[in-house]
Amino acid sequence: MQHFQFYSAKSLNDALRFLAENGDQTRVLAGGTDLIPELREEISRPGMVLNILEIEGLNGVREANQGLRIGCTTTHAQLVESDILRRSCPSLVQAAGSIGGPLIRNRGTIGGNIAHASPAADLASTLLSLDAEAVIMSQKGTREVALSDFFLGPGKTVLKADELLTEIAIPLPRGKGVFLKLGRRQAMTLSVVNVAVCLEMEGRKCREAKVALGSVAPTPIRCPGAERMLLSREMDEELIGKCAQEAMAVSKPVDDQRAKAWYRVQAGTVLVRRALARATGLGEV
Amino acid sequence: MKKRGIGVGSMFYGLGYGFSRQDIASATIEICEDGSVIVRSGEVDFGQGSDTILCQITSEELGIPYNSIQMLTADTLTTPNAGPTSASRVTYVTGMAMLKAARAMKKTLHSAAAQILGQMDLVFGNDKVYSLSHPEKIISFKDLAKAAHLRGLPMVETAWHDITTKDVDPQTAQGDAYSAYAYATQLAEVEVDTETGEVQVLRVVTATDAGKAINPMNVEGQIEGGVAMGLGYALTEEIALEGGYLKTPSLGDYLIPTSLDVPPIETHIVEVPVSTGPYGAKGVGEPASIPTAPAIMNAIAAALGVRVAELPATPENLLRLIQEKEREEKNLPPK
Repeated sequence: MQHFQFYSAKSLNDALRFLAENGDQTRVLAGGTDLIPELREEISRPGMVLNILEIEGLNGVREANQGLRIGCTTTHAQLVESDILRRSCPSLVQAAGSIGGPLIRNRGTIGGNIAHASPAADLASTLLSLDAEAVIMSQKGTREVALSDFFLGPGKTVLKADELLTEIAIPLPRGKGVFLKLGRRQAMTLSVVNVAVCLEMEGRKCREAKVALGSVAPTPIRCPGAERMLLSREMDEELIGKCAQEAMAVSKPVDDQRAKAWYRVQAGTVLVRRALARATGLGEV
Repeated sequence: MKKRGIGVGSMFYGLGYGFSRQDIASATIEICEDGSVIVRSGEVDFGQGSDTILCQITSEELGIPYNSIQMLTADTLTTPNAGPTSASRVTYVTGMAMLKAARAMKKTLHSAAAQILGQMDLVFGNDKVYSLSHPEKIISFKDLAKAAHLRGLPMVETAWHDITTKDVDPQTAQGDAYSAYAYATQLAEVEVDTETGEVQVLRVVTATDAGKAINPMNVEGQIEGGVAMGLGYALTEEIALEGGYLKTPSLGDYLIPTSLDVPPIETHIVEVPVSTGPYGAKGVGEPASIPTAPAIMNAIAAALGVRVAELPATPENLLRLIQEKEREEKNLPPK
């Protein structure tokens, strides 16, 4: 591991000042489950590491403005245990609970998971399906970016060097969310493909549909074509099957050690179909 | 759709090195003046429990409590060579060396006790030595050890056990390659998701011939660990190379089963004693992991009607086989 300066920010203003001065040579430590291995293997060689875990006010889930705000240092374990989320965003709880194992969930955070911009990040696709926004702060001010505009590629986001992702904002979901993940084993595994949907039903018709995929493109993606199709007519197995195929049509999976692209498309289609069936109340199909 | 199947895997396995390869172990036992016992052997216990077994053998032979024995193992400065921890040979070969050393020591102690008690029909038990016909003729192991030391009797014994076999006939390849064989059978029940190729092992039932289970809980532990290893071999563990480079260099890529992947395991210990092992015991370490993958593959075949020819049986490989079979059944040309 290469030497670097380590700085623990005392407050949000302190962190933003540090980033304004040193942002272009700094990596932010928000848990370290991705960062520390990258430092060890020298995949990343920053001159400085900024620890934001000691900043008060960046941790926890709270209700605000008809929605939820999740602080960037909130751990996956905290998401799993949050009563507010269990009530209003069960798919996010499901996704958080599928990450790594207990040790990773106690250490890793939602901010790190999103800012690291892994195409396979389990929280990312789920937050996309919940229309979440990234709250981004710098000394110049605050901006809110829809998560669908936040990711640019593997490890790349719209975050500028002097900016910090401070919170995730979620509008209160009106529909039913479902998260499904296919990994190579039952725990401590990255997604081969993951699927998050959120559907608001009115009888057998869908009023609002959000479908998101992970690990099948350079970034987690939404599937607008499939979403439009879901609104077109009364829900049945045939429509769900077609929507699942339409959803995967926008994917651009790659071959890697976890799985080949063709497998990701096929398994992804199955997962979307199953997630939609559960969210619409059609049960297991 | 989810399909279930049950499969059986059976194996036999030669214990020790066999085929005329040298297979020797030794162990030393020393009785201290205070009645405590020191055992030395070069055998390495890397978690499989051989220190426990060697200690139990000493305790059994001398009729003394387990906790009065001090084990010194795997120290090249002080312990005699016992050969490697491999070939499922430690209980079987080194255990026998331990038994021989303990019995040689018992003989010396017996002669001292016979002089002191004036009886020959002596029993070693409960940390004491006493006459079977006259139970009132009794001496504590501690007092006996002290008396033997005062008489200047040799209180150190080292024993060797050589189980090296003859080679098989070079022309016909016939003969007794190994001095003993282990046998084990396992059953696995799996559930396969026919649309994703995911396999869940629901349970594994094992039956292992341990000869004699010197420590049944230890045998059970070895078998459960072996099943977990066999399960990884069957479904996830893969050394993938590309252009000579390892694609699975870390435990994040080389996937061993987690506790959530290992199903309930039922173990049945079968005891058919073998004359060449201590109390009839055989090795169980490797036999525990050998039948697991065949049992799982047979269970997958029973569930799907397809045969996996390549391990690990990843969801991707299985899905391809499932779809090839579907095309065959519909008389479609292969993709």
